[in-house]
Amino acid sequence: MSETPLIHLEDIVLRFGDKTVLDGVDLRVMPRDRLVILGQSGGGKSTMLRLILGILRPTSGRVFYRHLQVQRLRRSKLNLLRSRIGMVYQYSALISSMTVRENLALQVEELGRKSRSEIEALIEENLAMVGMSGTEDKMPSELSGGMRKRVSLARALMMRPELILFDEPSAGLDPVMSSVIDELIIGLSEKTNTTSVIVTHEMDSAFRIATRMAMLYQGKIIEEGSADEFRNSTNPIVHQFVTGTTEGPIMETPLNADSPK
Amino acid sequence: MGSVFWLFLNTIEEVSDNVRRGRLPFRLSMLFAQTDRTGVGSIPLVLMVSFFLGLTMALLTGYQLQKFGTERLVPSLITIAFTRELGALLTGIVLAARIGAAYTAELGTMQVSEEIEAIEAMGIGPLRFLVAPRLVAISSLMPCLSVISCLAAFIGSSLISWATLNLVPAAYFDAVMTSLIVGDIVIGLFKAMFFGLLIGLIACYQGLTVTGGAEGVGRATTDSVVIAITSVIGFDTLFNIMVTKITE
Repeated sequence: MSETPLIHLEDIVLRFGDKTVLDGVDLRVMPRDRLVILGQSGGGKSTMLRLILGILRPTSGRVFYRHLQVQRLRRSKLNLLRSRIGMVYQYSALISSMTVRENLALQVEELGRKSRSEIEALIEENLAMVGMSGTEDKMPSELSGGMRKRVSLARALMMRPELILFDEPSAGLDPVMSSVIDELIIGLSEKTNTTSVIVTHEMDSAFRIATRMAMLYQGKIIEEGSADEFRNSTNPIVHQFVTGTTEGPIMETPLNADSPK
Repeated sequence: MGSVFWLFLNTIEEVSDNVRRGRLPFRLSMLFAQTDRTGVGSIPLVLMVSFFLGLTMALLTGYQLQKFGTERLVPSLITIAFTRELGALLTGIVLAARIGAAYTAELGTMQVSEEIEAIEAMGIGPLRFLVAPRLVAISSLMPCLSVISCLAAFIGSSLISWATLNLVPAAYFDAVMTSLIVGDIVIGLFKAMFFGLLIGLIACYQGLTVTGGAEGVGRATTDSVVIAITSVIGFDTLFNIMVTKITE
């Protein structure tokens, strides 16, 4: 692989107090990948997304975005980098006091230099892309979980990012809506050549979306490969996780990795 | 206090970054919404509390001074007390309870629902976008509210002085005018602005650092009000000691 990775997590160790959440993670995300990160709940998957965005700093190790070391960037440069990354949160994280239109317009108005009509056109286009046309004037509280997630995806696309991070995109959704979101992720990455990193523990979704998979277990990436390689993995931990059986080496040892909220 | 000061510096840094990029420091619509709520929305409460406190002070001091035949000093006493001290202090306490609590609850709720992180992840800068307009609104409107507090106290005390001390309003306000000292007014206004900034910073800091869901928001809101009121009174005392030492 001679191509420069879009993201490189290099020997990342992250501790919250005396809890080690990530223990020497080394992971590369190549351009146009749809990388699915699997792992137990509370195992540090979402934390990895926050490290990529520079919201959390690793205890040791380095995070690279192409050749830029994320932790070394000044606030203004970091904000510029963040504008090239879209993030879709598990619970959507739409600004509850703003309408759908205002939520979508926010980042472009604050960081871009587009005219009102251009922003309106972009909002319309993005909402249409996620099948949410006509909801511009609704408040987030008026939308269902699946609708909010789609609006959140439309918001993430407003700055035409080259990388989109998905935190549990199908968690809490019914199977049909879950498939709709999966299809959207696949469609978008194929249409716009966007790179995606998807954190999930929903196996059906993971196999549908992934061009590459990685499994995080007890703070380490224990396996990386294609969906087929994961299906046929001989690693007992990966095999147990993929099949969802209760018999196996995975012990219920949540690491409480999520930063305190 | 160190963390609050750190929040202040970081907010200034985020605002400066935006200005350097040739943009407004923050959305004017956000500033106007905050000034409306902080300033216009607080007028009735500040008016009422100050009116009654002025009235009570005049009543109590009037009774005591009457014994020595010096009840004519009531207007001067109220004027000096409110312009130099109580106008800013009372407005600070009212705003810490009314606006400080609201800032903490709003930002705290946004924090637990990941809205603040989402704003940060978009590269917008939550301190510039959310904290700066609130700080500007509260610190610039505190002096105005402090003036309103003084006026309400003068009216309250003049009415009770008229009723109980036979001091007609015209004579009362003449005495007020002769007791007004520019230095007192300036000190009072400066203190009000400083208290506003302090309340805003404490409230925003408490909101941004909420942990523990809905219960955490409740706890942070209570802490915010308690810390803000205590700090306002504490800094007021410190300020008075300093001013007294300087003018000695």
